[in-house]
Amino acid sequence: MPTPNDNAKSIFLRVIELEEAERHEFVLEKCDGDDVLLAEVQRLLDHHTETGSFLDALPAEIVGQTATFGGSYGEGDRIGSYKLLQTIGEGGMGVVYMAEQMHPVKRRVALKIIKPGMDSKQVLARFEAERQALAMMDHPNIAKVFEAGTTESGCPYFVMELVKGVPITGFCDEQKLSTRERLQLFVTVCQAVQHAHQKGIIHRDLKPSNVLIAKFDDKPVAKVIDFGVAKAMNQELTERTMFTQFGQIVGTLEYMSPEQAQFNQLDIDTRSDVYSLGVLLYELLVGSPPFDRDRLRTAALDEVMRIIRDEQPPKPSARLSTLGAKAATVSSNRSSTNSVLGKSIRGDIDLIVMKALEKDRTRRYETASGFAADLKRFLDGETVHARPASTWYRARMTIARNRGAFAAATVIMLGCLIGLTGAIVGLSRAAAEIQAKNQILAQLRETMTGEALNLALVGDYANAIERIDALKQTEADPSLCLALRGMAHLYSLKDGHNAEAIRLFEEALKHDRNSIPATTGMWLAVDQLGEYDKMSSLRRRINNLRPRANSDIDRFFLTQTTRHIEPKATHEQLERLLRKHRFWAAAYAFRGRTQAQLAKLNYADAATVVAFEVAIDDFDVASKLAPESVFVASDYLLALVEAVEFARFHSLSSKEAEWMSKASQLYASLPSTDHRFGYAFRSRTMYLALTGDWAAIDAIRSSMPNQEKPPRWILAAFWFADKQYDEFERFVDSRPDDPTKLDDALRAIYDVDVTHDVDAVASASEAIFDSDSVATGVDGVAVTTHLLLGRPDETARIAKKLLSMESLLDDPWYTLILEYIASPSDENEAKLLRLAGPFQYDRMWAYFAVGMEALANGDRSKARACFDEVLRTGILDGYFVWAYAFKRRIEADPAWPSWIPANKELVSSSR
Amino acid sequence: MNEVTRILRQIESGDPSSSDQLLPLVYQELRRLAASRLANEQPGQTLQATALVHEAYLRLLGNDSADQTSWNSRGHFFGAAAEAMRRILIESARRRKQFRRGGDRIRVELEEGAAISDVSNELLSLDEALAILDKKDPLAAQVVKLRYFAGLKMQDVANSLGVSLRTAERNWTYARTWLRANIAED
Repeated sequence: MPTPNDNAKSIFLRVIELEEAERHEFVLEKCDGDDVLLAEVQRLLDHHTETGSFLDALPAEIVGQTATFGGSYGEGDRIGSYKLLQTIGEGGMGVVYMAEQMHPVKRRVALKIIKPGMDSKQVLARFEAERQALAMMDHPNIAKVFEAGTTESGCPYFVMELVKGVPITGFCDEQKLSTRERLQLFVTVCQAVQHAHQKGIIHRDLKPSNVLIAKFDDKPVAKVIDFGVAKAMNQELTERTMFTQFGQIVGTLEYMSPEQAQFNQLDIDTRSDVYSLGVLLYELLVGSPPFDRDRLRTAALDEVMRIIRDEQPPKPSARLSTLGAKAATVSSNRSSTNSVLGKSIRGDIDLIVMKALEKDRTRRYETASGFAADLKRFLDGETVHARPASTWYRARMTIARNRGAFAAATVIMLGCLIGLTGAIVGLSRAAAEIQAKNQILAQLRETMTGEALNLALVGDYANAIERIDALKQTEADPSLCLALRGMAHLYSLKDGHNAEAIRLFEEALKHDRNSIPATTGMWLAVDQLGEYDKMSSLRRRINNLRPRANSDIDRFFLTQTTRHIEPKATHEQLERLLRKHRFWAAAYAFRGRTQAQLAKLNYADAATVVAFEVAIDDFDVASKLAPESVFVASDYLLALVEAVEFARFHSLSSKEAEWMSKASQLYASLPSTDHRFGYAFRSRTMYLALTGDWAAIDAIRSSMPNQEKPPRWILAAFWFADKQYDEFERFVDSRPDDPTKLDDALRAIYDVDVTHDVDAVASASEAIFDSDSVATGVDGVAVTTHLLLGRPDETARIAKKLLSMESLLDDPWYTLILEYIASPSDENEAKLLRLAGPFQYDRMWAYFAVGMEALANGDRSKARACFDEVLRTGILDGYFVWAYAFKRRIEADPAWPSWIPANKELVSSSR
Repeated sequence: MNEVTRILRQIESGDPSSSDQLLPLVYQELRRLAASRLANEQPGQTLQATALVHEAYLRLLGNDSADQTSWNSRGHFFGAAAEAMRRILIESARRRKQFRRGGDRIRVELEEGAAISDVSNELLSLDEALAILDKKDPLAAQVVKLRYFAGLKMQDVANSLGVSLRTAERNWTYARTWLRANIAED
């Protein structure tokens, strides 16, 4: 027995398949006098017509939109010196208003407000970078972009010439322009794009809605809008857009060139615009873009990208024949019929469009004007230049694709081809072809190296290795391949990864002693192992290495060793690299780190909050590009901790809460295996200290000596705290002579504790600083611990000497500490603590130095108070453990260190 | 074999109690994915349900996915995912409403304007109507969940439910109209 609802449903579903005229009678018959049923069916039918797109949009997009418009603006609102008049368009990325500019001139403009989610600061920075070039553009078919700014709610906006036009595809259909008229109009679009290209501007987002047609004196005039906007918005494919802006970019994807449709893009050039123009022409000709719109909209993003990169689209004429019923509309919109339209496109126009749509950009028209010229040739009845792919081209692509298998064959083939083409067109042509082949290989190498490096840094060992193997096939430098392999091992967290990495770096150095990737990789490996003794000689070698011409990979590797010590210069270098390589996850992380370091220097100014935001943004991108990377996460955590410390200092409670919650999430996601890394120790314990979880810090601290290869500086301190002299002796005996004297510096601490013979220890200890092989890690700490001998004046002299030496490291904090020890006045003490500000890590350095100075001067209570401050930072790092050790000793024996007289008089007399 | 695969096998071998174990797992994974994507975004980012569901699918079923899993199991999975996604979205809409009432000062500043809560309200009243439809016509409601909340294509909806494409489409047409009619009355 069907319920009324079932009845209503089945009647409704049957009714809607009937013709309008039959419906009423059918419903009356089926309901058979049941008024309730009749009303229910009628109600469904009433609402059926208005369902429209109801529930078509996915809910996630709704969720996004709910939060989307940071202040929705309406007529009469003011933004900067503009008064909004009315909305003239709304797209995935933002809303366009007609607006009135008040000053300096009164004029109407189009104002496009970008939806939140973009980083306004970076958008504006990118816009500024291109501003001059944009200003140089002056073409009747290009709408000018006047300026960019940020609304009060933080959304970027662009102000541009107001164009009262409609998208070119809609215009052509409305006016039923013929194919010929369409081509003529399209040629003017190409010329406009060419003009921009000559000024160095690439559009990057050419699509119908960015090519508007307005009528002037009854003649259609094209205006290309949004030049500079796509670049400023950096609106390209990243993992980030994949999950967050998928809905918004799909419309753009259809017009995107294959080189844009990949995560690790080659740099975009003018030929990408040529491709987009090709798609636009395709759509103008046959009413649909090359790839089926519905198919692209329902496919997953990676599938869409694959289609664009790999699938050969049908020729326009072929596409027309597959349009079915739609073809009639398409033809009539072109004042034509199916067969006539098909015929007019087949042949030359097919060839021209397909040449613009070549997957390999070197096969496309070199320029937009070249594209236009071929179209003009067609319009003028001349022979077009577009020609089917040559045999040589096919051979070349096969070689490039199957480098390995063809390696030997290539040599033979090349020989044959050189002979052949040489005979026909002369040797210069062949040389050009070889050059073209080399160019392709070079591009492949560059892309694959970037990808391999990223995968390595993410810790995706298997894929990184696969990419490196592929890289080898492109005749890549063997030392580079070995070094990349080393990086993959280094970041893989596999057992013995460090040793294997070092072995690979050594092998790479055998191939090329001056390999920057191998040398810097080695430096990172020994840094992670805490083998500071090897670092100074590596550092000196790195300082003398220069990147090979145009090698961004070399430049990038170098930033890994300079980012902590030269934040400003490194930051600028990373800016330059990221402008070109937008998907280098590690570069974002490094830039975030340097940005945070620079922000810290300005902590007293609350406005620095912006600088921290920028740093966090970079880490956000990095962690999205490399979500599994412990290394990115660890540095991200460090930046978040510092940002929270800054926010607390300025009582910016909402920022503090925001960053703290990010930090908590990140902390929870850090795997416990990262104990093996110095950085992670630091970040983790900094976070724990921030939350006041001392029990967790204690647990990590007590587990430290059991970690695989903890830095010996840390071990030595733990042994010292418990007077485990034997452990230390055994450890030192088991090691070869230490050229960097780190062991000597440690030994001085132990010797003075055992013998109390300050003079003997002092003369041995001071010899450390005479050596010119003093490692940075050693003198930075050793000078401070030298104060344990109770000779502040002599230590000051050593510090002065080190300051006068050409510093191995240019770390500002290291210099500050040395300056303080060289001249430990109250004023310098205050300066040091002031500069440390609210940042625990810097406070740790500062208080340890002040504490040691107090200890050297016999002021044990001040020393203890300072060491307490160090311990309060919670950070498990070199200074922390020595503060821990010394405090333990003072607690066990209030007269320790007995060789330093405990009185204040001595302080004043010794000064 | 991972846990989700194991549960799916149990469901297939006729152990209905296993279904109860599936939802929390899928929910947790989606929630984690959604949270990590959203939390790190600035306000206003969209989040693609389809992408999330598919990512969760790959993560949870791993290598056991596509090849070895029958459509029947995948149907169970997507059913759970649709339900999980619905809960997540509704939670998020509820939260948004709370912000409007002053639960979070900053958010209110950022999200001024009535249009915002309207969309949340729409989602919430859709959900209320959907609950009623679910009682009257579970199949139609299930189609909406799979199509709308999990973002499945119609063919996949049909496969998931073990019905023909035509039946799925008819139910979709009906459910859309019914929901429209019943939300419009509010």
